[in-house]
Amino acid sequence: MSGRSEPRSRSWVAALVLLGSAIAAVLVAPHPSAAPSGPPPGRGEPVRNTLLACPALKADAQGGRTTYGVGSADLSDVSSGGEIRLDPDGEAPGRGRTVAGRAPAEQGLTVTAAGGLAQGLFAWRVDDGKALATLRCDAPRGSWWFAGAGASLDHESTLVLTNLDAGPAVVDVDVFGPQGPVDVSASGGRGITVGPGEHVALSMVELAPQSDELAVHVVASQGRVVAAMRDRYAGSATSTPGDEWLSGAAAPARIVRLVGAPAGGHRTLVVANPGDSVAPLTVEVTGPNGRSLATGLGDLSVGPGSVTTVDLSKVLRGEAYGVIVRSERPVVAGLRVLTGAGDDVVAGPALPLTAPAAVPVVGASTLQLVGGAAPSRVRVQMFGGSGGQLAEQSVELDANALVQVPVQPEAAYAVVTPTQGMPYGAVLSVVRKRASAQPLADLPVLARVPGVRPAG
Amino acid sequence: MTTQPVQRRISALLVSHDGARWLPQVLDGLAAQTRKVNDFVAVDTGSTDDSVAILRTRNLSVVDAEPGTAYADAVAAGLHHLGAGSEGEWIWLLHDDANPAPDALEQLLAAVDADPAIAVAGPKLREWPSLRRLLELGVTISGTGRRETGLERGEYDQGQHDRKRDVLAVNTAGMLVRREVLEQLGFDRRLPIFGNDVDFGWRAARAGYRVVVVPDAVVFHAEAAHRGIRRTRLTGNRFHRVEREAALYTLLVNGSGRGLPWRLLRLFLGSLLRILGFLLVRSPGEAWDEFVALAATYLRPVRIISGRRARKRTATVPHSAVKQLLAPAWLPYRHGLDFVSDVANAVVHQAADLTEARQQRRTIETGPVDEETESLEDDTGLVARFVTSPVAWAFTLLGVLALVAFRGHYGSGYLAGGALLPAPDSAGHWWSTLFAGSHHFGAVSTAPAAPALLPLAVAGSVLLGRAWLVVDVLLIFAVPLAAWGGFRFLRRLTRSWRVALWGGVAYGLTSVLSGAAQQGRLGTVVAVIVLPLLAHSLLFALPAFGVTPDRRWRAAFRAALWLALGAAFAPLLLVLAAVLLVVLSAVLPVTRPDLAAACWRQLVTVVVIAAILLLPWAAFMWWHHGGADWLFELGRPASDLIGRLSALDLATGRAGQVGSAPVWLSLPLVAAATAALVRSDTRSRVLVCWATAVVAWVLTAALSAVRLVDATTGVPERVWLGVPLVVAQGAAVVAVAIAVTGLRERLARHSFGWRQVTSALLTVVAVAATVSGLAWWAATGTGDVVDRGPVTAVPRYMTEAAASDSSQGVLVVRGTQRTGFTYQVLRERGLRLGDESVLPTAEQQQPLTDLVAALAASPDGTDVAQLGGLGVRFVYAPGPVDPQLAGNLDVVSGLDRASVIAPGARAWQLAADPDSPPPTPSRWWYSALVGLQCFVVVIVLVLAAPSRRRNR
Repeated sequence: MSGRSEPRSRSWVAALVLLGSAIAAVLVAPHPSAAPSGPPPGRGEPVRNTLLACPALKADAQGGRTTYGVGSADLSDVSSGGEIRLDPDGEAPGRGRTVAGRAPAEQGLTVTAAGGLAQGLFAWRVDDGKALATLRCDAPRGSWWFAGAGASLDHESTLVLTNLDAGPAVVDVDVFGPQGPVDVSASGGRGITVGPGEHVALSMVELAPQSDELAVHVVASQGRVVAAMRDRYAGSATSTPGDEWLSGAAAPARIVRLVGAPAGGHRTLVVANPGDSVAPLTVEVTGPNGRSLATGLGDLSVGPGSVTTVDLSKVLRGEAYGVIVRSERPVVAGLRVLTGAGDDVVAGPALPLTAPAAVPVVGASTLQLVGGAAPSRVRVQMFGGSGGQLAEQSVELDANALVQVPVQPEAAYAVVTPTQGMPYGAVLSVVRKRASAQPLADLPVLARVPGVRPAG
Repeated sequence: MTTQPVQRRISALLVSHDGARWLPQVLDGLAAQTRKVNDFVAVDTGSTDDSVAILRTRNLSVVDAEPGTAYADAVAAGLHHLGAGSEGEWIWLLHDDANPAPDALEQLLAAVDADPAIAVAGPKLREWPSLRRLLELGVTISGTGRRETGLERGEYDQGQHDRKRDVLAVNTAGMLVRREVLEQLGFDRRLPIFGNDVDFGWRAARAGYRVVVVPDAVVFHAEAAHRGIRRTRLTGNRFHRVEREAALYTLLVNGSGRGLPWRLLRLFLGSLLRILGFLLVRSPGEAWDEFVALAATYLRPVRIISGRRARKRTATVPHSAVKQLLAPAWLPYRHGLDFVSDVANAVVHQAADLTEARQQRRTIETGPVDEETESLEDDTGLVARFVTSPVAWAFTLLGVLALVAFRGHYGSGYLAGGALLPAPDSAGHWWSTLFAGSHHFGAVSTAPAAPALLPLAVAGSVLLGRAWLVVDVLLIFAVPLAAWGGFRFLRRLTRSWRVALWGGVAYGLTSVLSGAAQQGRLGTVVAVIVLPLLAHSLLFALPAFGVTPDRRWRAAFRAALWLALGAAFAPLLLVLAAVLLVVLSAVLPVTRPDLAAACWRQLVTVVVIAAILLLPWAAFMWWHHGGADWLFELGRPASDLIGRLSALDLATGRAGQVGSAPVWLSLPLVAAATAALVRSDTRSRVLVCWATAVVAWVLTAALSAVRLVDATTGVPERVWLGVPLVVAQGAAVVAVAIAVTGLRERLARHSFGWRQVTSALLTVVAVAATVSGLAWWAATGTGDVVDRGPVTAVPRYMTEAAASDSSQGVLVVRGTQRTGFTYQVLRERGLRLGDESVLPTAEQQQPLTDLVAALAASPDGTDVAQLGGLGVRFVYAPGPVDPQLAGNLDVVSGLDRASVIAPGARAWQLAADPDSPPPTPSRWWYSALVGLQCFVVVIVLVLAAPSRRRNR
């Protein structure tokens, strides 16, 4: 403490020691960055209840038949027991089986499952007329995005809203067109009330007339709905229109993976940017050899709140390739293919599989499977309608490489289980040259329980 | 010898007790009387000195009374010894310390001749041995029992009161009393020594006699017993107690019967007030005396009743006849005012002492002073001093800068953001949080409230309940306040006001340069303000500054208070202080054994008392939140604002990435502090600073790796290390200030060379860095992390429902499915500053956490019912709401949509009235502990307060 009575050298030593320890302390101190202070990660819990709705929509005047199907995928590691109920009443499938039958198109179908059978439940609707349209029946939620709808003479879409819950749902519809957001408040796009158990069909022509390409956002301000978009598209004024159910996305994304396009035909990429600023785009093509950047398209971008179409016919060279749309801002997209047979197919956005996916076999079905960013592997199983596995194969997928796996025609449904990586895919169904595509989606197996913590 | 108109018999009666010191002179005075007494008797009450011998050698008759004989009995014994009285006999009562002037008796007799109604006459009492100061010219008693003489203390006798007049009573020293009146009334045996004169006079007046004071008769009185010079068995050490007891008794037995209840109440409350007053001026002995006197009087009502009966028998005139002899009613209030000004004087006196000491020091150590400082010390008017003082201008400028830097955050609403929670609506919220034994936030929490709530609540109450103003003042004026403290501290260490001013400002800036103010770290901001005050107090605990042990102990208690205040806001400060104490206890006995021996008690006291002052939080926190709270400050951890700190950040005291200043603004200071080690004559003191800084940095290094689980969220958080980093910066400032002082004179002795160049350069750079720091602060302002705004906008109707019924809480859920959810249960609008310390732990909230997870995933009706069981009535989700959560809550049975105004937000209401929540446990004892805590704080305040001068 005192250098007064001590030799100078000792206080020098003390000074150097202190200086050294100060430097050491400052340098030795670990400098960690802040820990994420958010809630803990979520966890999966077995699904105990599943609720699916197939929309009720009268098929067009061209006639044709509508089939509804319900299946309970044959999965390992699922709970036993439980029950499935159909509304209108019908025969419910047991574990590993499917039940399908014709029904009036305007009737719709609601499937509820509780207990073990809630896991692996899937349902579908097939409209087989002059064109083929398939739809995976979905669970209700609050937000739906559709790209590739239209409201003109040659291209008209119908939005079907179904409310499965006990209370009314109130829905707002936002519409984005080529020239930017379309004001639909005057035409009844705001505050649409869907009563309990009701189906409401809205013609896009009434909501946003004279728009060829539209993107639609359905958001429930109260309750939740199942939304489905039936799209009718004619390549020219004289040709017969094709039908397709558009696949809905839950939210816009910076990477949109479109898969399910058949070979040949005229390809149009529809991209909508709901944000407030311009979204520059790059388009990649995924083929059997992996992905490649689509060239010759120029600088692509989508204006704020608007929809852009890009002709990809040349880029895809008639092959059944998939497309990845990358943007700096979240976008929604769809790939419309006008086949030579006159039907249209819209390859919708597919999400990487984290659980098994099940698809019904409609006509000649082909699975289009794409590896994720890393090499992936999937197990493909095919089952008969009354149970029993018909075939099983393991498919190796290179990163971003697309593999087509034909499904045995005698199978009733196929189950695709990711065993490695984050693959995604779609099923393309062809019935007498008329085609329809549906992306693969996770079956309800595990419900994700979000992480929750008290706020500090 | 003058002629006697009426020949009277005068008997002198002297009561003595250990009065050998005065007795010879008293007897000489008696012998020198112009009117001789006819008879003399002395009553000795067991003197242990030569009193009896002195009396006997003069051939005076002495009555030996038992030691401890009451005055009344002594007088009675004397009268008995004198034998039967003759008609018209007068008794002259004398004390062994009361020396009559030669004509005293003659003058008294002349006075009593004037009116036969006069039964008692008393002389003018002057102080012995000064002989000139007036003691008494008759006495009376005030409504509070104070003996009133009507004189100023120490008034010189210039004949200004010489008027023969009727009084309530005269002192027994020199009292001339008609023998039959004395025998009829007698002295009250219950008044052993004090107060019997007032009582006797009062009774004489009530019996219709006149009591007069005769200014021409002079008696010199030493007041030995009253001043405590002489101890008798009757008073012991407790003359104050006896005096007070006598006063209470006198008032209660002699006062009118109608006024008795009021007098009982008034004396009781007045005594309590006096006890408090004595405690506040650190006179616990007198407080105890006061208490015992009160208890002894009030617990023995029989004495009062019998005393009143006895007086009723002798009374002939009504109370109203005596009233004008009593002291006026306003007198006690004037004395109260005097008392307050006495205390204020003591405080001022202490400050004057310091100034004096400082001036002495300056003249001794440094010789001539600069012109500016001289003008500062001049006893000119306040305004003139202010205008001519550059320091005052500097701090005014700093205050204006602080207001400018805070631009953009004025307006309505509450400051919040970062680590800071909005202040409550009123200071009452802090009081109730502090005293509540349990808190209901979804789960019941029995966590102790942060100790900072006590000073916050006090400050908020002083500001008329405006809690927000406390936070505003602290955040806005953090720099000037800390700079002022730093300046004040450095003035003790350096003789140059310029260096002290630079140091103060450089130190004050650390609260913004470190990022503490910008991140809303109120704990660090307060710690920065308190640190120099703490250091200042610690200086005076050292023998070099605190000259007397009393002053050093007071300084130690003051330091403990400052440390406790700082640690209440930033408990890490106490941890640092404890570590420093340990280091000091290892180093000091080796390097400075003399200093260690002189002040180790004080240093240990500082830390221990500070720790005690933080009870009960310091203890109960371990049960509820775990020890980690010792390292967290008041407010949220907000560790996302800390960011990644580099070695340079730590060296320059940048405690967080967000809001802190560029590193280069403080690098010159660190460089200068390093260079300060070079100067050899100041090195020992600079080394102390460096040792402090090293300890602070080592603590920082040790804690920067730690992730502590915040008990209320269960999230591991990094610790905000603002306090040790600021201490290190402050130590660097002090080191530079010490080394720079007198540098010019010292370097002038050397030939021009590297020394001059380097030191000049470093000085310029250090000053420039501080000026740049000020500019940076003024330019960038306080940042935008902390901003003023409304408290979390939970709809008002919900909080109103919650306020009226604790079972109607509002569950606020934030987040998305992907990132997860956070929630809190509110019963008021938003969490307020201090509430975070009493939140339940994450484990206690687990049922609610699971419930919220279920609500977000796939709820059913039973989940909603459980929600009601936890005292939740409303669910509120601020926008943007996770769509799945909103959909889930919309469709689940038992929840209805409720109205919201905020766009994008959603709210729901339980359809059924919720069950009343589980009753909160009654923990009255915790509130009592907090009350005890406040009491201990007051005691330490009293111990730290300046001593009252005892001038009787």
